[in-house]
Amino acid sequence: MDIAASILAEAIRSGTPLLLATLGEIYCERSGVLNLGLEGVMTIGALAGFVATLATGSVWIGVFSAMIAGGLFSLIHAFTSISLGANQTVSGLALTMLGTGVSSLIGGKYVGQPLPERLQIFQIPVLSEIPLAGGFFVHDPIVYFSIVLSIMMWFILFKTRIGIIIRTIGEKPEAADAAGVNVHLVRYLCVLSGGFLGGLGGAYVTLFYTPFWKEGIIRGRGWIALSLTIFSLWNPLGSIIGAYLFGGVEVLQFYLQEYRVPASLLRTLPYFTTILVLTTGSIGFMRKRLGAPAALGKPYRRES
Amino acid sequence: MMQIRVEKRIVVSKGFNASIRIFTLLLSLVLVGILFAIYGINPLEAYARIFMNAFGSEFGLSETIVKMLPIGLCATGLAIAYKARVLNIGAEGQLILGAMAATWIALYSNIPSSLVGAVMLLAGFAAGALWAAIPAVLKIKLNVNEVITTLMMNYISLELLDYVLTGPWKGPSQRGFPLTDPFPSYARFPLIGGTRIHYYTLILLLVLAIILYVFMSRTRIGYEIKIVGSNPEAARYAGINVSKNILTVMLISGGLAGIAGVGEVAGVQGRLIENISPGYGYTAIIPAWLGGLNPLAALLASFFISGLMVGSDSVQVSLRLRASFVDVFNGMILLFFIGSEILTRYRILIEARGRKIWI
Amino acid sequence: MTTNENYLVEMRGIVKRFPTVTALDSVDFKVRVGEIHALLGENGAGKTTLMRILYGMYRPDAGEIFIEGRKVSIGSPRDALRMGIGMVHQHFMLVDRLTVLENIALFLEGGLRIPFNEIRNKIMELSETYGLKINLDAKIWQLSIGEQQRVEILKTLYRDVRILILDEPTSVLTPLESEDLFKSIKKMANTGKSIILITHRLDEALKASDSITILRKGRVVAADIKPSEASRIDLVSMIVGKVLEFKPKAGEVIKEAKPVLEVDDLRVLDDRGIVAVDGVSFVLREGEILGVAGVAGNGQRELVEAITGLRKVAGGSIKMFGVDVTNSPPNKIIKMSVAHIPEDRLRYGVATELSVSDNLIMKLHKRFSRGVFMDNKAIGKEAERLIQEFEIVTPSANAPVNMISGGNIQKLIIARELSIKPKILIASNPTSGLDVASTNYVHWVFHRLRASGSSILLVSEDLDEILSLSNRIIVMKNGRIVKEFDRNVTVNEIGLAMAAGEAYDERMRNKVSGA
Repeated sequence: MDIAASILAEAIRSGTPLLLATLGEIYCERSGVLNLGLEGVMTIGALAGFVATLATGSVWIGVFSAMIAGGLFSLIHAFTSISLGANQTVSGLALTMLGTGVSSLIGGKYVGQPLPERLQIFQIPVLSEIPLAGGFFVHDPIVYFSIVLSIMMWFILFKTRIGIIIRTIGEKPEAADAAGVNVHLVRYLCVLSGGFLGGLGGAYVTLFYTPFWKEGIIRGRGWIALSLTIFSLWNPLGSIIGAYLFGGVEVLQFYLQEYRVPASLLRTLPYFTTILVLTTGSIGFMRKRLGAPAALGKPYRRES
Repeated sequence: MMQIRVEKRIVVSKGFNASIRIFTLLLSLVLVGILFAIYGINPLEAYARIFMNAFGSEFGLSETIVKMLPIGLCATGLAIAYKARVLNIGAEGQLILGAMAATWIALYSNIPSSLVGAVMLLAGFAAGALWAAIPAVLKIKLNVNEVITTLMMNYISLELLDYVLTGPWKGPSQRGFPLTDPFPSYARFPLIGGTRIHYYTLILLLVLAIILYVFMSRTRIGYEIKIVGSNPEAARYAGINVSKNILTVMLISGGLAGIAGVGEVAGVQGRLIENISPGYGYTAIIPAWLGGLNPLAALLASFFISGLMVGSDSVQVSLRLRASFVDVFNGMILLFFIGSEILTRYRILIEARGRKIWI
Repeated sequence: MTTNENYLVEMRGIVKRFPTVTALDSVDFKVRVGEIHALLGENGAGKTTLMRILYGMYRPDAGEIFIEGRKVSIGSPRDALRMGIGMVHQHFMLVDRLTVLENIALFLEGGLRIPFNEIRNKIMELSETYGLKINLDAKIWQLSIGEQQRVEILKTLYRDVRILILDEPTSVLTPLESEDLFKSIKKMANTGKSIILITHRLDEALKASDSITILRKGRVVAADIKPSEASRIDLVSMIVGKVLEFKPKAGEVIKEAKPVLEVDDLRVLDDRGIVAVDGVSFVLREGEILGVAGVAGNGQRELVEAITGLRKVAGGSIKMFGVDVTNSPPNKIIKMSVAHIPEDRLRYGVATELSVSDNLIMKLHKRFSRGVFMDNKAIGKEAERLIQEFEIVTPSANAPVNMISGGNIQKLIIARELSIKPKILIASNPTSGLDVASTNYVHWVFHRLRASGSSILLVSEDLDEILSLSNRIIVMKNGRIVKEFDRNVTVNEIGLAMAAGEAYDERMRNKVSGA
């Protein structure tokens, strides 16, 4: 494998947890619910995946548990913001506090424990030898799955009835209601799937990327995913580009270290990039037409 | 069949609002108590110890006040920002920048020693305000979501702190540890005898909280901020400069967080250290909301939350409890609090088997 | 329990209470098969509420509903659609960023796959049958209001409804479009569908329906009236009850008075960046009311927002009292004593979490401050005065605005805007949502304001209002002024101008700009 391909492969690997979380958040926001608790959801998933793998010795049970944990945890946010109609921003922040708090409370005794099994890499013969593009074909199943998932989620969102329903609920929930769709149910399901994917993204960190558990292991990835959601203009295909771009920035840090730039300053790169990405995603005329779902952050209640 | 219906509440009494807030607190205490029980700790014993350690002794009370200083300063500022619906989550970073500015004044400037204290406070305010101004300008000019930018600024300020402590500001006498040299004595805030309470900051906190309360309830800018927070479009329509008000609340909340940072380096640590804030800026979000975005109530709530932190610190060892349960508790309070806010705006009717129950 | 088999819909003893009012008080309502039934009444009479109950959006507190004589329980719009009841709301339930086809597909039940071709064919067939033409691949925001309404109707027809409820369908249409709509409705009735037409326009009910039911303040005052047998005068008094009518005199055309507002070749973009106001020029003179007529959505909103400083001007100029105020911020324009009653009262007009008194001084808050402090005593006094004068119903001056009704919010806004003693008042649909007495009061106040030498730009969809108050009238269509009238004009002439409007020549423009 050539160097370009291996850099690409690294970028993809470090972009995958972002991609998974962003995909989930896209569905969540497309249905009109802003989940700022993503950081907490990912942390919960990271811990649940790690603990379940330790307990059972099976990394796949770990992956599955992480998704369940992330999903169940995000239901808290679903309840406050959908059923109670509470302030979604504050509810999301609370979820992040709760998630990071609970995981460090429970996770204390797992710090420093080694993982019995890691996700296996499946190198695809021939394809992985292609210069540069070979970087796509040297990964574990989750990476392949996440790419297929992006395409599937794009198709569902833009080509099927379910997609129309989700987009309608995020734009004009009363229209979906008038058509006999249960707005709250669909929003719950979207938040739930955001939780599944957030949990999975978290687990990818502890089960593969940095295979151990410590406090704060998610390191702001949830927040980065939130800005990638805007950057991708709420399009699952756009999130692939955004996530790998970000993965690339993170990889870049290691290469720049050779030039004796202080490590701490290099570590700020993703955060600066996030601000930059968010800024470019926020400007421009197209935002009016391609911008945030019109009903994002607004609770729906029929009685007027 | 059970049915739940929601209707607008017509009359809301202040007493009802207050009792909902207290109920919220109690509910969180019960749930965290259950968590204690799961860990094999008697919740009543834990709470009793936490309470006694936080408020029951002179030492505990003084430590509670020491923690209340940074949390209270951040919380009162945040309350005003949130009132304008500007969701500044960056108090943590603004605090760190304030601490860094004070450190520079104390260690590297040539300011006459008699003025150093005042200049540190001013520089801390300015640094925190400037750090907050960046997301503010991005929000005003380009409509960039301030929640994420202020948060990213927090991460950046942590790395910046790490950079100065491992690089240019690393104290020559610190044997390679990431610390600055201690401040000269004239750059240390005096303490109340026998405690760690740096009373400059305490006085400043009390005065500022009162000023901010009056500012919000009595002044024209306070009025404008409230309109901006309730409906920015209406504010624009009424000829109110929305951008100016957003900038104002960001500068105030950032500046106050910066002062909190000055207090930590000049009052508590006497030098800049890596762990200058164990998340005070994040913790302060809770009392800001818990106090209903009223600066004085936020101060009171800060006192309570600080007590909780002190109390839990001291039971960590004896009950083998991790400090992060405070985060859990805070998250729960916040969730219950905003969840219960619906009760102040709506009545909930539960209909089951022909019986109606109003909440 | 039995019921007359002739009735397709029968609602009995319907009661609906909202927190502050009883919207429907024991209402009976019946519709026959193949009948066009007008549900007539003023704003706030309970027409829409009654129909939302039939469509399953609201649950009644008491009463029964029968469909073809069978008692039913309609828990949701989904239930209603399955029973063959469809409704076209006053505010369309369409998603701007979706295509027509997607909007219709949303409305269908079925699996994951969308049978796009099947939908296409059936829609073509339906639009052929009922004369409802539509481009299926256009995005909703690209359509005119009339076209959007067609999409709404087609949506319900696709579901094979037998009962179609139309809520104030003509309020957004030009007279010509309305004619087309009534033709389509007639065809539907002929195929055996029942149409319920919610309207507050008596003429419309008389012309288009087979039977009329009148609601007033949540009660039925007359049921099953045949238009051919009804007396107009009786119907009017049934609709409005007894009120003292204030008949304002429309003013003379004033030629000599000096101009206070001069708009020249104004171009304004809408939220989508599309030209909404396209080269508009006119002059508002001292002491006159200039009426701006036109179907909603033809650039009036953008015009008003540009004049009041809320929206950027893309080209042309605006002068007030001879001073150029193009792209001036709102506070500068307010300082020139320009008041604004906005079209969207909740978007601009009020900060709902704040108190009635805080909202009443919003425009003058600088005057009610002493130094940096607010003068709470003076504010309280002023609030009480305005609450009394305009009869704003509120628990107290300190109650938050979200506790008072829409009509009272409108009164609050009008009270506030008039309290600044405006030299120019820009009013968009100032009386929409007000009862007759309040409407009369507002008209009287406008009249008095003009008499005192102030000028009013009156943008309204209510032609009667425009005709009864204005000195001159301009008609807007597609962002342009298509016609100017003096006061000696009939509703029909204005209606014609609103509908035509494509013919726009330089001569007209010169005349309107008063050059």
